[in-house]
Amino acid sequence: MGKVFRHIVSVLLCLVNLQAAFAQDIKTVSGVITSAEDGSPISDGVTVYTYMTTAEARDDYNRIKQMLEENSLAGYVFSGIPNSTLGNYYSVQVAGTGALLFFYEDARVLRMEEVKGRLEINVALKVARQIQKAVIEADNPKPYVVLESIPISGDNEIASEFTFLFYGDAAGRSDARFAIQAYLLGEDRKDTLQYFHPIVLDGKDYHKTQLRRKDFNPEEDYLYQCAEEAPDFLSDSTASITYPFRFKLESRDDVRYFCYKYWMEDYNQVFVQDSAQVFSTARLQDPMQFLEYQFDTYNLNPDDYFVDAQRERHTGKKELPLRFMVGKSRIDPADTTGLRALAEIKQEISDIASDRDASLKEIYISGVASPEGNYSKNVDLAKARMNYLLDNILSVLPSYSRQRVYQSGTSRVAAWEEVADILERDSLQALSDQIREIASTYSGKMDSQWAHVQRLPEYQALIAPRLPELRSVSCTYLSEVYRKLLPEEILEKYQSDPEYRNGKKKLTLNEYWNLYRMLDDEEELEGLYKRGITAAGEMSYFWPLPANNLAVSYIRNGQVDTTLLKPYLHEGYSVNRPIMSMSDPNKYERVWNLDPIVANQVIMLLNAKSSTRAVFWATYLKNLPQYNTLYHIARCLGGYYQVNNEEGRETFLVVSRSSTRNAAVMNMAVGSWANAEKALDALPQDEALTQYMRCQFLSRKFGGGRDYGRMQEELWGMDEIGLDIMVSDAAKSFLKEAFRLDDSYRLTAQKDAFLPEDLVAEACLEWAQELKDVPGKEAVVKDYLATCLRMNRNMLRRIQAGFPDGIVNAARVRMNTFE
Amino acid sequence: MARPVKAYLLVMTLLLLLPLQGAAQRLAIKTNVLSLATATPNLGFELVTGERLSLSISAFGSANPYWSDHSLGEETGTSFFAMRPEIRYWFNGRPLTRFYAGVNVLAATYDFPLWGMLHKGTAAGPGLSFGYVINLGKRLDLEFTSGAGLLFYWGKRFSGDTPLPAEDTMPDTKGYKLTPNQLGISLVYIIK
Repeated sequence: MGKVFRHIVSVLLCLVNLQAAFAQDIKTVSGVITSAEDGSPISDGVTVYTYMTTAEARDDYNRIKQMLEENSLAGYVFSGIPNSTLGNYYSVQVAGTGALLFFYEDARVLRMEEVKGRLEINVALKVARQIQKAVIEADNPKPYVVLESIPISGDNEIASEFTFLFYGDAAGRSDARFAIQAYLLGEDRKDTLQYFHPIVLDGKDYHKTQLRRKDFNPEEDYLYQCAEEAPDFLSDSTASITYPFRFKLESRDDVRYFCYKYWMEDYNQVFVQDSAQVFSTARLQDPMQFLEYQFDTYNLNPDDYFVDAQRERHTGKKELPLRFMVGKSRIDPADTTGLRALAEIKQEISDIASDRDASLKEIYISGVASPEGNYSKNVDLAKARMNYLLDNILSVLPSYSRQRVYQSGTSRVAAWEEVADILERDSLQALSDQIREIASTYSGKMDSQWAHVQRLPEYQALIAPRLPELRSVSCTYLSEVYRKLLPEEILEKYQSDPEYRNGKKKLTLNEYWNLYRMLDDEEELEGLYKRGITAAGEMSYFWPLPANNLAVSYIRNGQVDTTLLKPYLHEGYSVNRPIMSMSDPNKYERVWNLDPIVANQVIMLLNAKSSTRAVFWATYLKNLPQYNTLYHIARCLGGYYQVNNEEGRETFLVVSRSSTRNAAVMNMAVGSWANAEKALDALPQDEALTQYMRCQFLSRKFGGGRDYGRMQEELWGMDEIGLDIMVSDAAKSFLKEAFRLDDSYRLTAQKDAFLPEDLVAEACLEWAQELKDVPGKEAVVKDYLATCLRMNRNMLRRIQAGFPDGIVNAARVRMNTFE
Repeated sequence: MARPVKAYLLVMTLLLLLPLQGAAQRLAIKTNVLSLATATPNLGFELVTGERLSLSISAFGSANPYWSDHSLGEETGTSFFAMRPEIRYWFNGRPLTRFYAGVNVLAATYDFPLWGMLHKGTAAGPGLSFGYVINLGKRLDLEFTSGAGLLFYWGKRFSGDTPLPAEDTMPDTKGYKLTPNQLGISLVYIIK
């Protein structure tokens, strides 16, 4: 018994050893499959069969070769194990002494590779393109375009490409020209809003014979220029052309129709032309639509931006529209507006005088007199008027203060050239020229100029009435404020004096700083922030605190203003870049790109849908860990969510780890279906969004139930139609569930190009049927039916069969009103 | 001998000047290599006048080439000069490309011995031509031409059996013939 047992054990051990020996020889072999013709990747249709021995592979190879020649491949069972490819990349488990068979059935290409211990086997298959083309041509005699995707990015930009396939009449020829241009139609489908750069493919013969045409000028011929840009010539082997495009919507709800027209002409005539719509922006694909994010706002530390009480200089300036009595320095008593303006400035000056913390330092008056009359008298008069004004204004000051004000002024008499400028502005060119001539002839002799101008016949009618325009007086003053109050005093002053509150009286920066800390009311604070920005600006003082506080407040309220923080950002500098003060080397004059400001600007830009700019500024924050999530979210919204480099991997990891929903969004965006499904399972199932995302998941994974190849991979053994029905049924029930939980998903589905139109139409119809008898849901039923019709007009019959006429008609009316 | 040469030069100068008047036109210069091989200098111009029409004018002539038949005496060299204006119609809508048909008038003066006879006189007549052009490059073409037409001739014909008499005593001859009058392989260069 023991002997038998030992035998059995040793035999078993041998078997295990044997298996281990085999297992050691199994290797992972990988490689890429390309076309031998042009090196382009062959990403579809190739199956890689693995064989443990080369003999086995050779048997299959010879047998299939023969069958291909006899055209009788149907029903052949390979002895190797089939492996599908991932794009044009494959990775298989095979014995080091085994072999691989690459079979591209559509192109009838077969290739055998012995492994011979290699770990990487790249193959270039000789694909007979003509055969492929002929096959499709038979099915599809008309040319058409293929559009892979219409993704929309965070800043409402749609960038994609479509492929035009040359078939039938539009087959390439060397003596023909093919031209294609895309254009964008507006909502009414009539106005063309934008033309895209055309692609012109000339046949070799067509292109070179252009020069034989009469009056042909290559430099001026737009289409010829376009053809010169084209990468290739048109020929009978031209199979397709890719048309890249990029445009921006102002708002995501803008409906635009992206169309193309093409024509082909030979030397004689245009022999084929057509135009068609490629897609409308009513339905788009936004992989980041359900990305979940909440931004913090970033405050500056107020203590870093404390402003101590200091002497603050303020300047005021006022234009005084005064009318003086003729030949005198006194103001015309009838000039009420002038007198009022004078009174106002006197009030301002006296306000400063009465403020015990403020003092008037300088006052400056400049006056211009018109040039008519005796020049020296004019000059004297101008001076007299200026002095009169200074006296008049400063009369409000007590003599003690008055003696401490620096007074100055300039007065001048306008030149006749200035009169000429005014006449020229009023299109009196001839008269203006006459005056200029007088001024240049009698240059420097002011009285002669006046004498000649006066003699012009148009003087009274045209010149004299324009002279008052030249007379002007302005008053500029500089005051200095110095207050040092305790915070409570500041609050007290602010709250008790309405003039401080409404901005009539100026606060000092120190007072603003204290008030920002003490006040709570947001609206009031926003006003004070704005005043603080202005006050610091007037003094040319670098003080980013109020602007950033205002930005934070805006972000919290959902308000958008991307200009607010611009003065503190400089593209040429890195983040937190200090600029030394010229006068004091121990101080910073300012700091460019403070990180909280950059962060707030990124958020502002994201809210303004300018995600390209947002990504630009977000990169400034790349190395600061506290902004990591913000940086990567900005990248996602800006369209950089693909894992094609290290940065992309980082973005993918950070964002997909930020929440379960984001894990689902990110995995779906990169086509990592298994992980996406796991994330979806972890989401709360009773939420409409989860159900909707499940529906989207199925549609995207299986290409809306049309990608049979992938489905067969997943669910081996079912026939295609059965699979199609199964997947679309499942997707439909998820969508209906989403509708049940939240009506708003009807519009989401309507605008979502990830869901096939038929799927949405069916789901809407079925859901409307379920709601039909629920009281109070009539309006909702009509909405669903309208969406159903928008997606597929052919559903009308089925709707008519199931619903009363009244509802059907209402739905038809709604269908045409845009949502 | 001097007279035809002078006429040749004169006409060639005119030919050169003629196309320059139409400054915006497309102009090609060409020469028939088949003719050159028979030591017959020739030069032609072609002016594109529309998407399907062009105007061609060519001149060719020869004075005593190596194959001259001197059997009738040293003085009886071969000399002839001809010119042919032609209007061409291009079938495919692109001038100087592929098939064309042309209508032309050939005018020639001749003085040569042939098959023991001396022919001397003037000939002219309308003709039709047909040809095909291969585009070799942006500016270079290869042109194949053939044509036939009526040729009216008047002049002298004299049998070479007897010594040549004075020219004015030779018998007059006059008539017309339907004859192939054009055969060529030409190189065409588009000047502008």
